[in-house]
Amino acid sequence: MPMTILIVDDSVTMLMSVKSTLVINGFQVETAADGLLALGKLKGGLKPALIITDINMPNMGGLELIKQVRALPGFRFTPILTLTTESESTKRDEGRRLGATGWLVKPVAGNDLIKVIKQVLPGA
Amino acid sequence: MPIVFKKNQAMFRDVVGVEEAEELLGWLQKKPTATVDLSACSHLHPANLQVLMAAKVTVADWPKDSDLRAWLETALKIG
Amino acid sequence: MTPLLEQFLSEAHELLDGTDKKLMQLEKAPEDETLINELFRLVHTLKGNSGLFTFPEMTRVLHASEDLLGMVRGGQMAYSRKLTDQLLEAMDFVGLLCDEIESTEHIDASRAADSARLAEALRMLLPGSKAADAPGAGTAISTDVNKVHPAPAATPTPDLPPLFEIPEAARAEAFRQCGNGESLYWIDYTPTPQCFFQGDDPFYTARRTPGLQWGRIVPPEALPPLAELDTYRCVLRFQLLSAASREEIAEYYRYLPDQVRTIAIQPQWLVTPQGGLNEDPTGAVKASARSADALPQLAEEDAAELSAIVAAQRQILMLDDHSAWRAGQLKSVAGVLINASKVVGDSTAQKQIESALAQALTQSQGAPLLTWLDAYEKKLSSKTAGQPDVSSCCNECEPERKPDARRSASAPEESSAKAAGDDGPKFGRRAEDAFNAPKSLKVDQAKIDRLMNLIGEMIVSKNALPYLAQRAEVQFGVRELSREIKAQYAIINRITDEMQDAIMQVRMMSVSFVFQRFPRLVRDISHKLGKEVQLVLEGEETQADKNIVEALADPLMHIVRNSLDHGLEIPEVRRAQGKSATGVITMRAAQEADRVLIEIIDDGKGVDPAAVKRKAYEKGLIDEAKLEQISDREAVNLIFAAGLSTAEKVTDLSGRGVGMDVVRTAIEKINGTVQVDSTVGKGTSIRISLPLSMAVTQVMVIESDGQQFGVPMDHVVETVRIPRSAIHLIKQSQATVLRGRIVPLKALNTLLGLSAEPKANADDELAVLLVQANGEILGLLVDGFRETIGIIQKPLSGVLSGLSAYSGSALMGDGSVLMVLNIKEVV
Repeated sequence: MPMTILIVDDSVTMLMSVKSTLVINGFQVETAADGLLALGKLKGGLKPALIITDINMPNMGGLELIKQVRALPGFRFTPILTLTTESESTKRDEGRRLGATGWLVKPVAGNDLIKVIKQVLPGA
Repeated sequence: MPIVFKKNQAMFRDVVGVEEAEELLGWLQKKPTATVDLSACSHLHPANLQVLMAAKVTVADWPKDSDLRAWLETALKIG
Repeated sequence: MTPLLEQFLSEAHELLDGTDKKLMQLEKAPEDETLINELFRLVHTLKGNSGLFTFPEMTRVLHASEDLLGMVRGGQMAYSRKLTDQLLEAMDFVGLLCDEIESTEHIDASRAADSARLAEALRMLLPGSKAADAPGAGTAISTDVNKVHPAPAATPTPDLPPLFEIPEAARAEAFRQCGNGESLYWIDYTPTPQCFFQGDDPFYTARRTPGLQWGRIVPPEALPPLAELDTYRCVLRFQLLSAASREEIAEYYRYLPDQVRTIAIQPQWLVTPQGGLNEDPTGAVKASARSADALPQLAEEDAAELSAIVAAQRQILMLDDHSAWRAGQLKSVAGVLINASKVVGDSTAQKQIESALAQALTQSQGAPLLTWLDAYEKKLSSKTAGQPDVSSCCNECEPERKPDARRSASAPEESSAKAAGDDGPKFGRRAEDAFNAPKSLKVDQAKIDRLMNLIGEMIVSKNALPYLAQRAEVQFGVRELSREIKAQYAIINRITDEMQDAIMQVRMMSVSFVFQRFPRLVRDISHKLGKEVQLVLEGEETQADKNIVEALADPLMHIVRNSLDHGLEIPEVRRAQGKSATGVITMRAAQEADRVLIEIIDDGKGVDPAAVKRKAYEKGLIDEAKLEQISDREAVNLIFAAGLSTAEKVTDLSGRGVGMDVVRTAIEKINGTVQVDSTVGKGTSIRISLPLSMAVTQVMVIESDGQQFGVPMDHVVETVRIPRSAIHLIKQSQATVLRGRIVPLKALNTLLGLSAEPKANADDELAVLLVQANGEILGLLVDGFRETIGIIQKPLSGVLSGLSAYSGSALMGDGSVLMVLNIKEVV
């Protein structure tokens, strides 16, 4: 059974780019354009094995999303990766503090993405 | 299900995730003499491992995955 | 162009529109945190996206912009007009690059210099401006690397890893790795108790450590009884030995720098394990090994190593191992021993080992090598005070391990990679699943244009059916068929109408498309002119056909520039007149029935009707009589006449002597009208009225001199028949009185240069089409009226395009061509 990964980013370009890499590598992919929409999907019964989220988004940003996701009963242990830029080291640490598992640095090259996912997702 | 609970044995399969640990703990508390069959297990989250170690559980079958077996042997061998 | 690049460009345009808007708003509300955050996010997203492609010229500028905005957002620097200017320029540059990529799919090399200059200029604005380029992704990781390794590599700290606890076999294998010049690291990985709640699986992380040679799980001193165990509080630790490089390890553990301690391993530590001497039995081992000078020609350390190596090989040979691995193991043991003897300079040993290996391989067991070892060890021990038994000591503290077990760690990785690869063919199926289908689609304009053309042709073709029905009845006398054709026509007619309506809806776009560029325009020009101007936009969401909205851009630009240039006064003048220093330009759009009204209102000095009149007279646009009777309102509207410009001097902003006639022409081209109202000293208001859609024109078909003509319904007031006797001759012109109002009459034939007289009907009544043109009502004498139809008007081409009497032509259902009259020009 393919694992489902939820990608949250307000940029369709970024979603497309990450999604295509994941789909090629056999993952099922769900997307959401901001934290609020992502949260809605999770509350609606989506159970991804991994969540990848951008930090800066309208309505609800990535950091708030992490906080909210960790408060949901079924998502205490779900690995979460943040999508950050190289200048955002404070955001990465903040993300970790709020419960993120790790981070990806944009632009995410395909093999790096898969490498990191294999690192945080047993069985991937 | 990653863990199949039989009468007196828990069978671990594939990747056993973190969420299973609570049930495993509850089950082992009720069955102090239970054994585990890890033969089909490829990985288990340390939350489960802690439980197995604390319960000093007897491993009836070691993982076929030799790498996992090597790790677990040191951690779970009684003595 | 790849879909990803297309998506990038389309999104980039959107983001750039956003940045422009936000920059403008921010200037008015520099303290608005939400705005700064949004602006930062836009630039940030854009930069992130640009990084997906190789557009360093673009990324560099965006990067610098992002840094700058980051500072503003963090409160480390204040927002300023300088900043806006610089950022706007940067975004313009990015927009330019996008356009370039769109047309050529790459960025011209010549842009690099501009990019560098812009980035530099942006960085100069940073507090304490360090103009250096920000670090790239790679360097960021190396910063983390430093964090991971607080301890210097070479000098052993007092806190040495308990290497002696590694089983001898694994240790020997590791030593071999060291001997091959590879680095070795001891890793102490202590996950935080709360780590499970971060999605961590420390065991998995440990298992997948790069270059893993050996590892074990370390339980706490005492695990709590089962009943008291907190399942989700991590109490385990991990100790690992890795042959990967320091960088690889640091990279792998970059999320957990505070949970990992990495210590570089000196090869000899493996042979003579150190640490925990006082409370450990291996203390004795170390002591004896160090004192061993079994071979006097060897240094103390080397001698110890040699004996340890020998002991380690014995241990391997004693292993009761799977036969499949046996050969490899034997070779490896022999290899180590040969290398060791080479180092010691014992050349005879080498040959002995080789022959022992050959025997061992044929027997598939270690006995021959063991025999040699026994003999060799005897030789060693005869010169050694006490032979250290490293292996037995280690066996006590650690159950025996197979060196190969650790090395197989890479196997699952390979198989999972393969499994993932096997999923490849499913791509197609997965690719089908909806990409969270957006509520709106972006469609290439050409596709909609094609639809539009097709529906145009359809409407025309459909019009052929009534003719067909008529022929069926009249020519072939099949009445039944005629009726059926008519019934079918009614259905097709309804569907095409709906289809046409639907396509029109698709083409509708909001006027904000045009309005949105004005904040920037007004800002730039008003700064240049030293005027203070506030722009108010209203009703941006009003929709009209795409062509109409697009055609509005230039006229509006012209009008607003005029207002800025000639309408609004400089602040001193305004104050002197008791007005607020800041002038206001309002752009308002609204829908009224089937038309769109656009108003551009300024509170400037207004248009002086006397000046316009004088100028118009001077230029010969009006004669003396007109000069006398013309109302102020009419006079002001003369600004739209060709060749009239009231500005005393031409600035570089409003064009070179090009007056408002350009505006009128452009508006009329899309069947719109424009009017101006102005009060001297109070301001000017320009009203533009446009059709919602220009695709289908409703025309009334009339007949004159045996030909059919179309008259746009916009101009038709009404159709009347008047008796010939009701036509009066006033001076040289014909006229009639309709509802108490004198209406001038003109024969269409005369206007078109046709010699025929208008035909009257049997009651000697003449058909009069009342039309409205240039603000006047006029009666056109024609021969007769036909139906009103919707046509797709095509502009005249070739030699016909010079005929100003016609605005275009349309194909009729019977294949004939209908000429559409340009009423304003005709009358």
